[in-house]
Amino acid sequence: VTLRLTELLTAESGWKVVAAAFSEPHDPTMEANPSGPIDGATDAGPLTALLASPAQLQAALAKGTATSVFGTDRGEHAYGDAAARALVKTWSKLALAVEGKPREVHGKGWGFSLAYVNWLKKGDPYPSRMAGLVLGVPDDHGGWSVVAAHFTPL
Amino acid sequence: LVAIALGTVACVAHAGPKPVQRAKQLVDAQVAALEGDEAKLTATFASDAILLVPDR
Repeated sequence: VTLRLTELLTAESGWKVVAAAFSEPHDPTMEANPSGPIDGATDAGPLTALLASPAQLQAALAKGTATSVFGTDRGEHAYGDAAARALVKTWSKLALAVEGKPREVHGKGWGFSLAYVNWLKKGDPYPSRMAGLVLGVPDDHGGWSVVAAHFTPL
Repeated sequence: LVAIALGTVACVAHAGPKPVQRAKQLVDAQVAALEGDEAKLTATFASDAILLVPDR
């Protein structure tokens, strides 16, 4: 089994992991019912919006080789900002929406959002269901630079 | 057998080991713990950590 792994560890937590996504790549499946609420759910903030907007996510990706993006499919992995932008661009026409409340947390120099993301495919009566984790650092303009995004099928 | 073949760990830079070193130490510890030491694996996560894991 191959796992994809994205983790955020912070000084504030004693360098322990505060948010993580583990996934095995496969197509998300259509499901009539949403998943249950996220533990410790919060109001949505600016990072949550990026999970359902490939255009905004693409624009927010941090420059550098450490930036990474995982999609749900086997071939969807990108390392470095150029590859990450190219991958996210392929999602630009997908109909995505955040389902329910996320857990978005901001700390000193870091932030993350974890949320359920629905993908409504043309002709399907129900959305294909995913979860997404986005990790960001504050930029110089009051916004966020995304260092990692990870989508997992549910 | 679990192989973590693709991965990334994001660290916010602070004093101490370089982020890439800290990331490698963390993943090494987690891979070792996956072989049966649940307590060691759990210890790598903050008490209020939120995790997305595969539904298996």
